[in-house]
Amino acid sequence: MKVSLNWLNEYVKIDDLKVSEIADKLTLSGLEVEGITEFKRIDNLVTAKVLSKEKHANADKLSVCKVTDGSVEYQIVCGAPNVDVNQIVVLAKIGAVLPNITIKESKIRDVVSEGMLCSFTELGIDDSTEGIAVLNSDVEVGVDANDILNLGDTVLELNVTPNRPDCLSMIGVAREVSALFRRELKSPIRELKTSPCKSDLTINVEDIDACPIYVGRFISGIKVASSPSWLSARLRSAGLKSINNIVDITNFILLECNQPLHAFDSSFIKDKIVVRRAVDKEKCVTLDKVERELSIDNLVIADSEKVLAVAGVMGSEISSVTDATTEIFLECAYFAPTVIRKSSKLLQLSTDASYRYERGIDAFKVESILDYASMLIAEISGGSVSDKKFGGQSKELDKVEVVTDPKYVNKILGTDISVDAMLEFLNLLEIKSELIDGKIKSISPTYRIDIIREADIAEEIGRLYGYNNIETTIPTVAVDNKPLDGATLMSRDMRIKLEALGFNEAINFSFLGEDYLNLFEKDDKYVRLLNPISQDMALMRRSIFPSLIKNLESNWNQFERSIKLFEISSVFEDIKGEKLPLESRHLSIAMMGLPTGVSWIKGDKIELFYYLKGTVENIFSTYNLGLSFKKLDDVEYLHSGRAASVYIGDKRIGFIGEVHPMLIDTIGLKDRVIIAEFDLDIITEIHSGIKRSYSKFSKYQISERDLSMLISKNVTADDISKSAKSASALIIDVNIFDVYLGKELGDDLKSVAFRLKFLDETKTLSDEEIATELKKVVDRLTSDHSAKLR
Amino acid sequence: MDINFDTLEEFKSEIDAASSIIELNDIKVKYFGKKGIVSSINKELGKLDVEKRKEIGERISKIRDKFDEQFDARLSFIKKEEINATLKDEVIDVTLDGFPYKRGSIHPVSLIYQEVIDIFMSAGYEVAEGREIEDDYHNFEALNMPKSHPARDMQDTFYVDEDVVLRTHTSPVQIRIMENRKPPIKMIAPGKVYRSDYDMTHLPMFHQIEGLVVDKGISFGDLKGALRLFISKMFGDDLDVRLRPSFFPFTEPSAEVDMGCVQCRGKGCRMCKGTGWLEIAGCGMVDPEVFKSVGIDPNVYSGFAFGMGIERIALLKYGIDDIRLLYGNSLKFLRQF
Repeated sequence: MKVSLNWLNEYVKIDDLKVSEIADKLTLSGLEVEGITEFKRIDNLVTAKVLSKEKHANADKLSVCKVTDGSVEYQIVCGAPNVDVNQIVVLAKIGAVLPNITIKESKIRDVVSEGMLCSFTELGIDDSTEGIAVLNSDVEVGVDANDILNLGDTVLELNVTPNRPDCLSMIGVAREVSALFRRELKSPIRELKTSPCKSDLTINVEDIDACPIYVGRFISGIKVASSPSWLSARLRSAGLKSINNIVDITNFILLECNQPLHAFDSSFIKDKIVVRRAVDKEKCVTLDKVERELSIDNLVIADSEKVLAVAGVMGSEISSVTDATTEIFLECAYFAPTVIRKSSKLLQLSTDASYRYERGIDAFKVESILDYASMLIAEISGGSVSDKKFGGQSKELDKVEVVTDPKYVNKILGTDISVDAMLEFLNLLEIKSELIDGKIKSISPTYRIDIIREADIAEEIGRLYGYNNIETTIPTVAVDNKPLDGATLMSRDMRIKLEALGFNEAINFSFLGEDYLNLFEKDDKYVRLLNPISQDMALMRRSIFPSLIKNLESNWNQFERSIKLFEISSVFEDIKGEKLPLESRHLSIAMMGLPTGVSWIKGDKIELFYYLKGTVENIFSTYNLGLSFKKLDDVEYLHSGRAASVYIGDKRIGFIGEVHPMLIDTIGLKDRVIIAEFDLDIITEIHSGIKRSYSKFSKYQISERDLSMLISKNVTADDISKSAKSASALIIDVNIFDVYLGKELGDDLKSVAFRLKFLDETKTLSDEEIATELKKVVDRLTSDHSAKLR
Repeated sequence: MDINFDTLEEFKSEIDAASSIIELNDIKVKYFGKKGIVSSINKELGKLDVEKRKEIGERISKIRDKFDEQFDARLSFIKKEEINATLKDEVIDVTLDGFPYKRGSIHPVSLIYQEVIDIFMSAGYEVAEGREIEDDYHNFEALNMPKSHPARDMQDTFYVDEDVVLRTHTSPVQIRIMENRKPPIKMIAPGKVYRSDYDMTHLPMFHQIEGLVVDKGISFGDLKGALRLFISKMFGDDLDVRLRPSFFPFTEPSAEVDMGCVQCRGKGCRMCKGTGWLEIAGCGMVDPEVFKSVGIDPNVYSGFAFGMGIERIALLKYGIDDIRLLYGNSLKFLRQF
């Protein structure tokens, strides 16, 4: 809401106050001032009339004009295409200092120019108008243009919260200012003069809940013309463009009193006015020339044949005021906020009128504003107002009474405000209040739709008392301190460990595009947004790694060659038959390039899979989970020979693997990518059941023996370890320390060297005993896997 | 028996000439080994009378002492020489990089998220994160925002279906706690929230932290105290805090919270547009309608609630000038934290 201080001064005297003082007080009372724009007065600015216009001899787009300020004639070179003879224009004479230019006598392409004809943009009034400002023809020539243009004004940009629609108007803001500075409020008054009216128009309100009040008057003999300059200046200060005198007055009243009005060209009203619900699929071309299809949720103003307006939202084009209009029917109504909101939402059409109706206007002023507006229109357009008022109020509306306990107010605010002070604050805000039996009884002003309960009264008192005058206290609440939940704690731990291991934490949006996600998992388990920002942000992630792969790619394109990322976030999966999707917290890790970066210590020999596997084993190691890795060769997006499911017991907690080369190619990645993803909720749940405990250890010596065997390539480290352990109960550890593949071994064999650790709980093992055990291992590996000793 | 003690004394020059531990040991063997000079003398000693034996024995013993002394001295000298030589051989370039245990980083938003949680936990607040996809009831209706209310326009909402939304704030977490528990309640709800707004200054996903305290006799003054405590721990205790009346459907009275600008400390600068103030949070006393919808009697209990954006705090704390950097995930950005 833009508020011109010059305009505001008509309702409450503020011209002796500093702008900053007004702005601060409004901000601290809840009408936040978001911007202050000053329109400075400009010296040597006069109104002038264009006497002649000729083409510039040396320039196609320039004209040479003769203008007069009533006493002196000036020659002006003008570049605006809209300049024309007889226009009243704004002349900046030599010496005028405009926001971006100082006017000096000059020659433009050899022709002398003794000033400049100004546009609104050059005057600093707006930033969008093209061409010079053309004033209303009634403007006197040779007067100071500052007054005509309302320069020397300051406009405040107010952020009006949805609970205060009354402050969407000049009078509403003036009322606040009057309470804050304790100054008198002046309301505009017009004495209604009427002429006899022969019309027998009937008004039939079919839905009285949606439209409790509908009144209107005819104004005949009007002349549609451009608005007087004071009116266009007022609208301009609020950011509205001048259209014609009739429409401008309705907009002026909207801004002044917060009452939307609609003027119909009465010659297009057939027989009667009906306020009714639209028929399904009924059509209406609105003022913006868009044909709209209506439904029962749109309230309309219609005649016997057609829709004249979408009630409270926008009029129809057919019944709109044009230059040919001589008589109007001026509508002034109160529509139920929820009805207008629904109607406006359905049409996706929000207007100044609908914005105000859906927030709530003052139902009790509708009839008096109709008279005031009618009179103003008659005065400005030369018409006369019908003596007959059509329509009326079809439903009683209640005034709101609130009873407040002063003790409650002080309790909720933490203050010690006297009852007298409370009454004073409320009455300053025109909330008529008195003390009855120790309680404050208030009647809400009809424009203050937000005051209906004790809490609302407490807020008003707190506001005027000043929030910053309320003493600060520390709440004492007897609650037990509760620790963070398991998954949150584990997330923190993961962050610290992964940071130490050289991984950078990323955070991505939770939504991605369907085409992209389908590269990985294509099914109907995704949660889909109805109104995404764009199609590549339409589906909620079921895993984090697709986002991390995008991050790898973008970093690679920024010439990063050692990329190690992780992210911890919730992911989402649609569950058939459930209203809300499944949410689980995941950890994902992704790597690309040299894991150790470029270093003279060679890190490039490490297979990325094992680097990430080691990382995973490391970060989970403190939880004693007993992770196991099982070959995973049936996931489409993973390399079938380089992926593993990760288990704790028989519970799958995630996977680790290399992205399928085909997919690397499709996405356009330039190197191998290794990813891992885990469900932290499952891990936390398992971990909560694991107890740390001490177990006795043998005091005897551990004996170590190394074996080197030729064995089939298909036999895994896990197979070797299991066979060895099953052969001898004394083995406590099997460690593979060398794997060799060589041509001389053939295509099917590998050489594996491993160290076995033997321990007996009851004695130190003798060489003979160990030799016996070792033979068992060799025999078992030979029988299980046809292994041969090297 | 004739013993040439001069020969025996030659060890002195031999030890001095030894240049390695091996040579030195050879000398020891030559004189005191099993077949050494002294051994052969000792074998002969039995033939001599007691008196003579004693005299020669003592003399040899003295020589032995001298030998050991000189031997040890020479040994430690040679050892030192040898170690010095090794040191020279083993010189490395200590300015070469260490083992590449390069440090990673924790995202700035996570850092602030954790710091905020820690501040409130140390003040006795319980932490609940809750779900990110919510039903309309918990995200709006229970918070005094029926579908027809214009206040819904304050939050641009992502819809999954007519009745399911991406939560626009973490308030539904508080509703679910209040539905299930009697006061006193003292909690914060941090987490991701979503609004369908994406431009230079808005992200469609961001993090919020909301606080809720409900008990008998909780006042607006308590709310101010809670906010002041947080701001002083997060940004320093020299910053002023002020509250401006505002509107939220779920609180009444409601306020916006400004704190002194973190850059100019309240004097006025570009960051705070010359006002000296930065908007940091929204807050208010829990609206009686909200209490009614969760079955808490507003005549018995009162409470306050507040909410703020983690990203905004991160931008202020780290001096980040473009919010879009946060989720671009460029290593050039991430490595700085």
